[in-house]
Amino acid sequence: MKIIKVASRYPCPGPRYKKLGPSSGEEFREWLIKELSEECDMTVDLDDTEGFGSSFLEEAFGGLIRVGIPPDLVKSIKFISHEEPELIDEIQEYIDDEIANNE
Amino acid sequence: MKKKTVVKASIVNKKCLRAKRSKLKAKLRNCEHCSWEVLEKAKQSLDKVKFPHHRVTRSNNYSSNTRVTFRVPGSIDYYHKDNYELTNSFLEDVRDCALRANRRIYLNFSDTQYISAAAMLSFLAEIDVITKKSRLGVRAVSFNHPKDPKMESILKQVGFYDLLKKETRKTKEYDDVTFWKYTSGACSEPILAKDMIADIKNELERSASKKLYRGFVEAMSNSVEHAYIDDNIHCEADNTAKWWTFAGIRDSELVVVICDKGVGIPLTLPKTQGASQIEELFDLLGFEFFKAKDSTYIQAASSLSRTRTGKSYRGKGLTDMKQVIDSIGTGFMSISSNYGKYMYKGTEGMIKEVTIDHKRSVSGTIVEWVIPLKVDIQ
Repeated sequence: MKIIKVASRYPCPGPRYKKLGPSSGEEFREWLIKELSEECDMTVDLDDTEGFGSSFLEEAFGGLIRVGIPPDLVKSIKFISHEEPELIDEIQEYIDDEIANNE
Repeated sequence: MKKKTVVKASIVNKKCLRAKRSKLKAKLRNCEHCSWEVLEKAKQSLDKVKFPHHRVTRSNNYSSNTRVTFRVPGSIDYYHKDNYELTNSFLEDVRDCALRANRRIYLNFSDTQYISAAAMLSFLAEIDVITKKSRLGVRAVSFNHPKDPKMESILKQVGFYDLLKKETRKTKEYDDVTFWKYTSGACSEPILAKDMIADIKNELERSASKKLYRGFVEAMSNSVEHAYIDDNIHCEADNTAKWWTFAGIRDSELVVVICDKGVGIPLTLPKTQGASQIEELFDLLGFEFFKAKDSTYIQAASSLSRTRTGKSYRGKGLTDMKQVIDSIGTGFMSISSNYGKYMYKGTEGMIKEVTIDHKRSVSGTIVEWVIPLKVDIQ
């Protein structure tokens, strides 16, 4: 199982798109896609960052569905968030909404 | 037979001149609160009477190199209505003088006794834009050391002296001033405000600072993505299409402000959401589309959510900013954009939302959070 720690690359997560600034959700999503192509069993650790903007999370995880990653694979991603447990539900909501939009 | 008094012509002339001069002086006194142009004109008229032989012919496009003096208001403040109008009127005047008339300006801080966070940031942003836009650069604006040592300490701390490259002098240190931090940038790059975020983390509980970060990064992204759409004045080329942020402590409260000098939410909202969406949203909220004021647009923008807009996965930025207060459970948030102001006080109190429309515009958008120190989230 691969554990991706967001804080290791993005201690200060930024905006939605790359064009808006560094440490964006789009950039993080590209990292996720690269890692998913190597290992399907993945856990994302959300702790130890300064915080997350909702657009960062939406673009990273909702965006996975938009770019064509199979919903089952996206839904299989596990999360660790001891500092803000509510983030996990929020991310699941973004994924579910995007799956619903694509149907 | 009555004796005729013979008055010499020179005495008549002198009396006329004195009366005229006195009238012009009174006029100058009376237009103290008028725009800088009216004041300048009154000064010139008086000079013509005072020095009648001093006539210089200038070309039509001549722009004087003499500095125009502006008395900075006693309170640079957005919390009280009168101060709000006065501060914005002053900023409008300064901008007009420096950018439209290409004049050098001199800011006289002698009367200034009070500076509040949001107004200070707006002032700083305005001066930053002027120094970048004006052909004179930092020489376009000069100022005197404020009489009040605390004001001088604040101006030093927020970077006003650095911005205008004026030498600082040693002043008394104030505990509630040393915390004040100022940052600006053009990209949505929260790492630029790293020092500020680190200080906020020391003042707030970890979970509360994370919630604040969420609102902060969304406000920054909104500024970069939307604020300067179709803006004819500010652009990336001269580094004026940017955001300014500021954090400070006032009366045991943490104040975090982020500001941009863009076209404002009332103009960007119809473009980002579409006119029909806005009309639908206004219907849902019970607002009349054609009677909507700037504050209505801000309130509508802060009520946007995916369930309301029905489709889009975007446009939740302002809702996130509002949720900072809901998550922390105390404090308030205000958004001023152009003529409107929207205040959100959380779901706990009797009054949750307040909207106000002013006579003068803030010329951009200012988001401010005020949070009591050392609070833990509910």
